[in-house]
Amino acid sequence: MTMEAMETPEQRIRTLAVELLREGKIDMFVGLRRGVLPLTGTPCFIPASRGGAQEDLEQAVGQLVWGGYSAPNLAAYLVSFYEPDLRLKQQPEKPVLGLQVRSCELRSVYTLVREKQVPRDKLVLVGVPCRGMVDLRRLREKLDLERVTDAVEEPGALKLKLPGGEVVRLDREEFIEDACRECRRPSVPEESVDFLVDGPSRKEAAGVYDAVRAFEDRPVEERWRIFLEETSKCIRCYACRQACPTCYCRDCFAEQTDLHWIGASAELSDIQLFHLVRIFHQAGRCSSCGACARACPVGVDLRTFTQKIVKDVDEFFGSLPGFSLEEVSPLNVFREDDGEEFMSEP
Amino acid sequence: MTADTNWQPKIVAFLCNWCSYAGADLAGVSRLQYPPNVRIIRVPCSGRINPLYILKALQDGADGVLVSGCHPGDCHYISGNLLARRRFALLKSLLTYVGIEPERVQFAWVSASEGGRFADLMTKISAEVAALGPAQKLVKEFRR
Repeated sequence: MTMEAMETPEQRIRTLAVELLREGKIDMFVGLRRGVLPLTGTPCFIPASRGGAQEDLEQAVGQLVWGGYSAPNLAAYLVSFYEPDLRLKQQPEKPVLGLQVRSCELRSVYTLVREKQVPRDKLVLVGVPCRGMVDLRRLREKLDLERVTDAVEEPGALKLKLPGGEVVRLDREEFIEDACRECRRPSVPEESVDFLVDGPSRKEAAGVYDAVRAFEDRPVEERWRIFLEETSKCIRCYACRQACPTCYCRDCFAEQTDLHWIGASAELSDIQLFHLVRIFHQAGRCSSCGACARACPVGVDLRTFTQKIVKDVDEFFGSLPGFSLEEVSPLNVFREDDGEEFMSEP
Repeated sequence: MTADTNWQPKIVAFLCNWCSYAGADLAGVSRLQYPPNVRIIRVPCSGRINPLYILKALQDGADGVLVSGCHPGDCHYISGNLLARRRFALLKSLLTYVGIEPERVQFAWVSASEGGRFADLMTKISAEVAALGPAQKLVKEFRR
């Protein structure tokens, strides 16, 4: 075994980040660090120009973590770095970012590159393995998360420390997010990233649309009742939109005022319209990362509804966002023999 | 909802300028009878339809929405209707999924020479929507 292979994924990410920053190959590294609450991850931006001593850089990079913490999709932070400043005639040089990406984040990155929101040559992608994220909601049903002082991940297990030296050991797999449990492509393909970190990864899941199919099989009035129940929880905070990398419109239809598409209140009909259009706009874009549902403060079951468009695009048009620049958005093309069973005949 | 014996469905029809709109015109010129429940909105192409138009019509009280364009291969803009077909397939599937009755939102191809087809289509859709009753879902309640 070489020295490199003995590094844990976390150490490898840190080594890569230090090297890239020190060699001036990137202007900033974007990764994850531990969040304030146990079992959460939060974005960590480490700029190269710290101007300080070497120890500063190493200390900053030392915060980087790899783990199954509940964390946002880091691709969501990219677009703002590359947005043109419309007030300037001459655009300043855009930064080169090093980005730590899981498989789902990578699919979002490639969608953004294809849609010309992010230049691929300004990104240094560090692919990381993924074992799935811990589902805090499911964990909260089991125990009072506020009491957890620290969490340690062991192979297959989650060790939670409680006050008074008490330790709870849980089967990690039991508390994985649905999005991760149903992930069809958990590993990062080597050729689609600049560096690939080795490590334990999830297995590819089968039966990915089970929840959608189960919902489809319900009677129409029951489906409506559930949609109504879920959307009535929504407080229109737009956290789902903000957390989503592929919801990047500068002027969201929900906030336009020259064409006042929908009211700004928490009126149920407006909420439902917002979600239907948000879901529709994910056609051919959604990487099924689950960041929207994770970000939702009131626990709307966004996944069951958003996955429907993923399933339809997959089944109708055979398209699923992947890891290459050659793919075309399924709604930008057509086939003459596209299905039209849904069309009405007199 | 009070029993309104005079209730008639309100149907909004987005018709392509180059075919279905002329088809509706031909139905009129040919004196073909069809239920007068339809409010026609002329659009340049079925590909011009933003799914929001359809949702907005439902929100603002339409009991049914019809979108009609040129038959595949006949689009004035070559492929607008074929791109639209993909969007409509997804939209209809999504709306049905969340529990909107499939008959409320319909798509069809009607050419400029198919006045009879347009009249038959409107008769059928009008009957289907009438059977469902007034739209209750997605409708925005206006408070005074």
